[in-house]
Amino acid sequence: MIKKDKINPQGMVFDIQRYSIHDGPGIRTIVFLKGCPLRCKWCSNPESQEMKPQVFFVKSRCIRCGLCVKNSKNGEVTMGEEGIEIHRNSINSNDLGWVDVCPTKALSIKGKLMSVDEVVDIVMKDEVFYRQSNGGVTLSGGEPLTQRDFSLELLKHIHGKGLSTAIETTGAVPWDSLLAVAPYTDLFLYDFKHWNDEEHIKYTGISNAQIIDNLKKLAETGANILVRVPLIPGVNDTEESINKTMDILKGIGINKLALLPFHQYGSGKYDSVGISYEMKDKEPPKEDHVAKLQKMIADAGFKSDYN
Amino acid sequence: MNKKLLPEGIERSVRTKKLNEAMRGIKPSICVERARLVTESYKKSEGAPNIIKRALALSHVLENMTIFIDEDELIVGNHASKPRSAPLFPEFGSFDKKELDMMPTRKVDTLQITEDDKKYLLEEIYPWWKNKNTGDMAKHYIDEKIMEVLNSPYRVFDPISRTRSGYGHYIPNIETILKKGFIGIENEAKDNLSKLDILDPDYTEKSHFYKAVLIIVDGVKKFSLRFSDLSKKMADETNDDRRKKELMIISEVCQRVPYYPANSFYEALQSYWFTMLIDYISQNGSAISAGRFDEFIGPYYDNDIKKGIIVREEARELLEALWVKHSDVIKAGTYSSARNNGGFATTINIVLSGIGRDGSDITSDFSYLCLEAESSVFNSEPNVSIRVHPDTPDSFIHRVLEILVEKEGGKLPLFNDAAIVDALCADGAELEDARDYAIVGCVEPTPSGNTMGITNACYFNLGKCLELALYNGVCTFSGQQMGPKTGNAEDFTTFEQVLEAYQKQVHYFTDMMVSSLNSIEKLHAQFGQHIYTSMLLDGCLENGKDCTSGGAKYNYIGVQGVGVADVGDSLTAIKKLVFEEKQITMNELLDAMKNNFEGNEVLQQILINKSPKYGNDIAEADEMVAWAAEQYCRCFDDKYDFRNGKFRPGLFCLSSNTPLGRQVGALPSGRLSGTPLADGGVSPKHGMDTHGPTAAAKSVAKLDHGLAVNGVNFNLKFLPSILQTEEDRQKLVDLIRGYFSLGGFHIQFNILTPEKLIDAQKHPERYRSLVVRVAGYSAFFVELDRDIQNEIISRTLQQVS
Repeated sequence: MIKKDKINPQGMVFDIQRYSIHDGPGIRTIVFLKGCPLRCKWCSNPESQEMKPQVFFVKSRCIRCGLCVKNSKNGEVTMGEEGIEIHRNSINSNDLGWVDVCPTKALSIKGKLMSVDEVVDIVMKDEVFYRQSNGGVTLSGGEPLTQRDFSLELLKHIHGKGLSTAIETTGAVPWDSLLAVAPYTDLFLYDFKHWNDEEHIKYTGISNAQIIDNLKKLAETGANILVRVPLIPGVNDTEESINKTMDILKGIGINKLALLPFHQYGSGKYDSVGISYEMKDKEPPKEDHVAKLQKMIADAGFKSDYN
Repeated sequence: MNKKLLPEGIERSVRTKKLNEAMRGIKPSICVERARLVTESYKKSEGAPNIIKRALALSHVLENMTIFIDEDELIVGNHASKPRSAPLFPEFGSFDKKELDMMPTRKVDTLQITEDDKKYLLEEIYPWWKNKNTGDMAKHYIDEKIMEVLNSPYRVFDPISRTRSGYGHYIPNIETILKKGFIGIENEAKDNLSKLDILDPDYTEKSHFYKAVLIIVDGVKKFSLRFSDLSKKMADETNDDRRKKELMIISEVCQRVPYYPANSFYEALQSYWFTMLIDYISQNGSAISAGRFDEFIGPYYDNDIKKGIIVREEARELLEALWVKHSDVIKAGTYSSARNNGGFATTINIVLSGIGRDGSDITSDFSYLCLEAESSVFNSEPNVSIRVHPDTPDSFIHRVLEILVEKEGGKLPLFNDAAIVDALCADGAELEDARDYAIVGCVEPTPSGNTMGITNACYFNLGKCLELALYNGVCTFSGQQMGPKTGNAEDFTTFEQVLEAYQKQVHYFTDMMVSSLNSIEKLHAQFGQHIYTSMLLDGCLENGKDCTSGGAKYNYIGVQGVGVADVGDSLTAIKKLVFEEKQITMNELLDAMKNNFEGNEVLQQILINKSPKYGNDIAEADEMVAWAAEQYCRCFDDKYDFRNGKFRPGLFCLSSNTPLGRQVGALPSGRLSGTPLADGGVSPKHGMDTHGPTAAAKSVAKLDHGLAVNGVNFNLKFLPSILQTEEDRQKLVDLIRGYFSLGGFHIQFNILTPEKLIDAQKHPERYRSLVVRVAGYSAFFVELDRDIQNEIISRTLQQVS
């Protein structure tokens, strides 16, 4: 599906979001790429996990006109008592005409193959705002480095224009992928989910060994790294957990750390892509608790800026 | 720090809160006193030249109206016989019984009136004015064919409220009054009168004008002295030492200003207030605007601070006392006019910061102090605007944004000096005058103290023109052949034919609008002279000519196109879906529109979702809106009124997009019949700008704002959560600067939560202080029409994460 072409790689993009203001310095555009080696139970972008394009259904927009049903050839969608029903096993991602006919955008496709030039054309629309604010472009996902060649080319282009580049990474990629993009990446927003490997495996599906190893190597290159911990109540939000995390980070020469408190904004998207969601009832962490942990982090000498 | 000028005994914040709560707690009402006094005076002066009648009437009001000084006021001067009550202006027009009956119960601009007062007006005042006021006389002025269009409830434009209203809408030369006092005006008028050449063919008019000026100066002087006397009397009567001292100071200040030049900060503020207030007493026009307040008051503040006769905190105390006074001025309009402008929109605009006449930044400590006053008082009046240029300190804009977040109400719009100064110069202003621009009303830039810009003469319904173009000039509501026959859209074989039909409709009605406004201005020149206004405008005294006759240095007349986004989005949908992709036929489209998409929701959804929309930085959609904007603006390229006032197009609508929307059937953009047109002039249609604020800002900047030199309005709504930190605010500052570098004139942020607004509808009493900006100006939310409240709630929340 994705052409293995290092000169003109294509990327599987599921969103490009302008005026993103919490993902690096200045005004930024985030390019969201599909595919992720982790399956974090709290993931707020469930449509990012699979590499292939996915049908996305927003029930509240559906007017039950039945156009999708009429246009579906293989029974991908039928009309039920409570509106349309999508049968994901019957979906052929090369034949999504029944999605395209939807007049209300209740049905859409998450995941579109784009060339580097196409993405650059879009992100450069906000050039005037990047220049004004010393902002730029952030690659996110999913794990953008699962699409290494595309990410590399895109970062090179943006970096070459003198704009700020950032990448949000899980670190769960081959070391040479991180090494390859490092010269063109002004800021790594490096996720650190859990210090304890068993817990890490339990909540994300994979070990943290490679993640910690890569982080250490990346720090050694002198890269600008801000480690971010998604703060999940009951998973990693105790003082002890944060202390353990800080110990590891200190040990490998990391001095910037921030918290990303858990939120429920992504919960509706699980239904939309037909994935079950285990954290529906989880409350976001209390503000004063977050503030306390943040103070702890600051007191331990960690910074949390982008520069 | 201790006070130096005022007696100790009350904290600044305590006084401000007290004054503000008292003002906010008042139920607005009608005051008939002015109507009585003006009628008395006109009766006595029958046979005199009209301009003399008008001068005598104003003086009579100033000498006899009820005056009062409220508890703990520091700046004095009331608009009518009670606080926050609307005086009446029978010389401009009357209200019929139905309008008066509706006033206490109508949902917008609700005004209490007693049965006795109603009876008095209907039986004694208005009968005398029948066929004598400008509103009644208008029928003899406007062309009959145009009246036929205006008589339809679905009319494309409606200038009739202009016939019933004074001019308002200008920036008086306050600086001259501060520096020279009205004695300066008096001397100039006397001097010019004595130098008049009796052989000058305009001798009669000129001598009448100067005599009228002198009559009014006398009234002005007596007015302030009445306050001085009253204050002295109250000082004598009170046992409160602190208040006694304050009243003695007030009495001294009112002895001097505005007749004599202001010698101190206190006198400057009081002189400013009297000068503004008297024009509001003289005419029922709104949007008489303060102009560059920090520029002309700032030097008095600096001087008093330097001399050590006042400290910053008590300067702020005086300033806040003045700020509160602005809410005293309210006008009574018809229900229809209140719906267009809703929420007691007197719109006294105060402009802060910007570049000075020499091109350098004028932001001062006093500019910041004005922001503090705004933050403390935060009512819909005054309408404070911020001028921005590349040297404006970021910290100043940060403070503005902080206030917006604190108050969760949209005020404090920002204006782009670079683009506006260029546009004003291109429109004929000298560079220094252009640099000294301020904002009239909501968004209209004009030079200060020398321009009669009549900036809000009329709204023009572009959406209606498109409807007429698609139905061969026939109104879909009434079946009336309202516009020219521009062909059956079913027969159009190219998109260009659609454009051509639309342009013909727009031209046909803009010509009518120009003609009718010209007639109305003639009417005002003959019967509605604005002598006091003319005294405050450079040019009038030199020329011996009233501003209604073109006496001011610059003359313009502003006409606003409304619905440019609806028209552009509709044209894009027709072009793409009917002519290019042929997804739908013109017949299908017109049928569905006639039925308001009932039974064909799929087609409506296709129109909404399958055609690009303005506001997303998509060239195809944005260029169509830019075309519609330019086409409208160019209609006035060579149009002047008889004052040599250039017709000046604007693209803003205040809240008129809601009532104007009621006159327009369903549109090809997918918009339903009777629903509001896009708000805020050049803002994207609500809910359609889904690509974030930078995309919306770029779309908006693709329109040539310089053509719409009478002003544009771009509203962006934010949740307060995106402006929590200084870093967040800096990003918004950069957004503003980026947008301005692209040529945008204006940007306004509404920072609030929809939940809050819904709750405000349920519990208005809890939200009295909630000020919102409706499409370019601000009002108390709970005083707005329900439809407009709903409109605000449904407007897109910019999705920012």
